[in-house]
Amino acid sequence: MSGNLSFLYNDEITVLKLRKLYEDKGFKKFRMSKFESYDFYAKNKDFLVGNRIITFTDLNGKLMALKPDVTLSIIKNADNSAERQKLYYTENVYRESKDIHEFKEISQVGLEVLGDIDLFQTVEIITLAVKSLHELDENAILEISHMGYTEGLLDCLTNDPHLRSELHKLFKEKNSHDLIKLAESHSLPKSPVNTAVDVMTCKNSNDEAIENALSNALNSRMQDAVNEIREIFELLKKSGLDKHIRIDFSVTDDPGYYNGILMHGYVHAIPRDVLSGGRYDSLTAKMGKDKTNAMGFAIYFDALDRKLHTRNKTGTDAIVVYNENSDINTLADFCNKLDSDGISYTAVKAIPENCGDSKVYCIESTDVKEVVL
Amino acid sequence: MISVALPKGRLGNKVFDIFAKIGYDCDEMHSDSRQLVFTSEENGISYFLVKPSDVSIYVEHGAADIGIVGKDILLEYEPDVYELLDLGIGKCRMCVAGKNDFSDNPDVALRVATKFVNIAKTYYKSINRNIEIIKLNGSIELAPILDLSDVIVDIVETGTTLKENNLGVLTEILPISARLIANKASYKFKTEEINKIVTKFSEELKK
Repeated sequence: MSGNLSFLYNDEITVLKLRKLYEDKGFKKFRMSKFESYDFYAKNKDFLVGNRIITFTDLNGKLMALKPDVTLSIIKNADNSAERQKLYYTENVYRESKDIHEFKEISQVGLEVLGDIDLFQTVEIITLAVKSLHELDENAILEISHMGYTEGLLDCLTNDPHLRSELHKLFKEKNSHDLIKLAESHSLPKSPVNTAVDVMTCKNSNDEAIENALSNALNSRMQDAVNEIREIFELLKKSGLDKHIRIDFSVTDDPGYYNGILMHGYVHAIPRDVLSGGRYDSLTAKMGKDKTNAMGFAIYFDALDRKLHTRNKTGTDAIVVYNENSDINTLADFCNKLDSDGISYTAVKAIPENCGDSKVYCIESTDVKEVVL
Repeated sequence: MISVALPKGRLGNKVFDIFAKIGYDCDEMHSDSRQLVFTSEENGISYFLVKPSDVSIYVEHGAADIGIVGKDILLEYEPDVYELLDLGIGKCRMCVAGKNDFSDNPDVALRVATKFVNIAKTYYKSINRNIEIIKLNGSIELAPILDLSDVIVDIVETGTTLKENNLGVLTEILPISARLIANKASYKFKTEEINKIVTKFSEELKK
């Protein structure tokens, strides 16, 4: 996809490649309006990254919001049925940036599958996540985990929602030392605490991580989670994509929304995850679509800007310089010839300071001269 | 190669000594140079010394793979990093301190002077106390003496400075110690090397 498209930036090329990847697997493009009713997001605020939303009053006096998320709109528009819908999107969302404490426009590409999601469909989504990451970095890593494992583990520790939320935070930080202290101060049972500490340390191989998680499983919820991951991992081995997978059973997210597989994608030289997603039947159920299962992921291009917003070509192939003394017919004929030869050019009245790799032609009266700078 | 952000000062020196002991020595660190980054190709490690409160920023943004930082900084800035080990060194306490004869009037907002705005807000929210925050960047102990605030929230090591100024600890909010943190993406790509450092560090600290 270079050649005539060499004027495109790498992020634009990547988006086109991702679109092809998804279209080739039968995904349809989802288009949405830039605005939604504020009320819609206010009801699902916990699901959104950050609490702040850009709002405005429309001409009818209704409070509207610039969309901070795409997934919610996709679910809202979906039928409450088990019929499978495969959708992808390339959209801009508007969110608060933690670093600069201002709103940011973030370009997102993602896909969602709604309806019946079986093992094959799950593997297809994970495969597409790995292949999407490959378009960004061939050594990228997709971390996968399962909400069922951490939730099953928390079931063995406590039912207190406040304490569960504190434990969730410690899981996310891989903070085993403070987890032990918290468990001691609340007299939590020792065996699940030891399991938590053990699974928090990343293992050197995925097979080891699976075996370790299975031997540490304390209830059927945890066992089911490991078995699902094992089945997925075995199927990924068939396509050779397993080497780009990192299994970590301590990774968790908001149980109010996610209920199964979780995914986070990492590429070199970017300090945070650039892809995230998972299975979120809890969210669809919350939005009244209890018959609809859902799984998907999004890639955040804001994090990738520095890596991808570059291009091989920086200017036109040629610069045509003319002035008051140039013959207009000579100028027009020369430019027409460049057009017919497929050479890109810009016509200017003075030689620019930085001409890059462009060839420079000056039209002097009826002569065309190439200038070597 | 693992890059490490160390806090300038006593804690950084102490931590580097441990790194050296467990096989991550760096000759350049012993020289009296004005270098900013110290590298040991042989041991696959590079160090740089930064302001203690900046360590978590370097790690969160991936300029360093790992770093050593006080729990106070982690609680205050809540960086999105892994907290892999409690080193149990650089111990101190985050406390509420005030004049020795301080008595709280719950009918009015408590004026709290502090560098640690987030920690102070979280603590007083947890006890449902209405407060007014006065953000200071240093010499916090001056605030109650000059009646700028009723109390301060600050780190207390020995309590000597407080004592010399007729101030005292009113409540201990939480104990603080140095933590080993890692950038989340670095940990995915350098799992083995980082785990090795954490294990060796942990074993050395137990000795």
